[in-house]
Amino acid sequence: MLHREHDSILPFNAAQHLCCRGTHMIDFKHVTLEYPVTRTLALDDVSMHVGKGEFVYLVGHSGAGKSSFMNLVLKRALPSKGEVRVAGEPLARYRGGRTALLRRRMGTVFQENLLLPHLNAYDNVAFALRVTGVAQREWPARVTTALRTVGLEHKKYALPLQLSQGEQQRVAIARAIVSDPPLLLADEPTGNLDPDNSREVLKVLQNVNLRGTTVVVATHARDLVETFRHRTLTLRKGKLVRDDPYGGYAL
Amino acid sequence: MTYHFRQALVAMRGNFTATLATLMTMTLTLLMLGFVLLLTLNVNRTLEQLESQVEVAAFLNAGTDGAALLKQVQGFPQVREARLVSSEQVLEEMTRDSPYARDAVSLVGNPFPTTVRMKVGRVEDSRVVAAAVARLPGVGDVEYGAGYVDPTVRALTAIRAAGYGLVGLLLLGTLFNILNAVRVAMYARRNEISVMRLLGATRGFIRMPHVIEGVLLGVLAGAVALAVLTPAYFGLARRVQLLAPVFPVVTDPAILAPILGGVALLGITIGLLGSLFASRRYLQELE
Repeated sequence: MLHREHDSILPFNAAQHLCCRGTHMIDFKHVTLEYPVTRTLALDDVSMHVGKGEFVYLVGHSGAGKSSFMNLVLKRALPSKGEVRVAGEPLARYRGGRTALLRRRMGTVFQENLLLPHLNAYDNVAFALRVTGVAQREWPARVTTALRTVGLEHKKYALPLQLSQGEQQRVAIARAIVSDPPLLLADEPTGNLDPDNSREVLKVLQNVNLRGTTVVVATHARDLVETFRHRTLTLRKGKLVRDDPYGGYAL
Repeated sequence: MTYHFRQALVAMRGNFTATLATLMTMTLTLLMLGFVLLLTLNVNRTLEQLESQVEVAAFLNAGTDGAALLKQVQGFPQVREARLVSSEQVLEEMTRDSPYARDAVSLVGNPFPTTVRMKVGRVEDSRVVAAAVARLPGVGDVEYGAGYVDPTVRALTAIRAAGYGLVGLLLLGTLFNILNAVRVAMYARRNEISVMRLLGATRGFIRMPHVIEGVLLGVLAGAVALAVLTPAYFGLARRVQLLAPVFPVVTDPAILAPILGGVALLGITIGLLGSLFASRRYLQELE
């Protein structure tokens, strides 16, 4: 059952006010996702939205449906029922080659940083511009800005192996934001990091959010969710069981 | 484009064994194809010469209406040309070749019958026409040089068919090699490809290096095949002309250039089509 905490103590619908500035960035309408081969029910009738410019945590145990949520938004999976919209557009409209265009509007960060080991930090970030056909003359300024945002401008010539895990993840974030996408999806971005590096990565994600990018972070990290408080959606066995506009980790 | 080209070269160097195997099979196929095409060209030329020389001769019984029979054989669709040669004309021809024939005539009279001589459209039709003419009333005997025409035609046709069969198999082998080379290359790039997909790269962008790889292999194989085939053919042609001048070997560059160019173009086409198909299929597999 979905709980909207704090609704009762606020003088007006503050939850609505806080979570939805302008139109929605992500909209789930009665979305069910069942994986056909294993018949696993990953998401069960989930309805929610994420407003433009929001920072939202998605928490839950392993198998709760966090990655399935991300996969649906990325159109790596299709809902069995219901509708998913991003920036007001139903994802069903993105077919074939258009899926690539959808993904250009999103930055993605995963637990595994997926950096290309033979490219240095600069080239890894520039890779995102290359594959989306951005003119080469624009690369230096945009890559430098992205690396500066994650605090790694001074390490642009370092190969991934020469960087710490936390720095590698920050390069992955720089790569995700270099195209200036309106939405950033981070699936367990601190999963492989120690507490200090995790906090650094969270700070970087918050900075990205302050630039106006909508950020959705799927995480297990209770301390981070408690320390850097933002709206928190809790999933349990594929159901959205809590939507807390003030954050906090409660499974 | 420079990026795609560089990636193609990286992939070719990275999977050197697969690339080399593909290149060798492709080159071998093109060499074989070139050889068969050139052989066919020369076989056709030889057959044409045979066709122009081979005649079917029908020897008429005494008292047969030659003009009526001529009309009949001219009605056969396989007969290109037919003419009636009287026994006197035959005697004259024979006397030209063997002057002693005239002496024989003084002893036994003109032994040569009136003859209908026919030229057929295709040399393979000689036997059919000969058989049909032999059944006509008034025809005593028929000759068409069966002794050398039939075996020659059979041998040349068999060589041509075997060559095409072999080329077909080699083309299939080349295609499988290209599929394998592209698959190995794409598998080696699977991490990069998955990152590219997430970053919003189009399928065309991801497939481009592999398509370039296929075309490059085609160009290389075509070039090597031409570099081997051209001097080898001209060398062989010179020897044949020297040793067996009866064979009309084609050495005219205007006739040979389109064939050799076509072989190279086929190499590029196979490379392009194979890599287009493979990259499409294996990208779907990786997704």
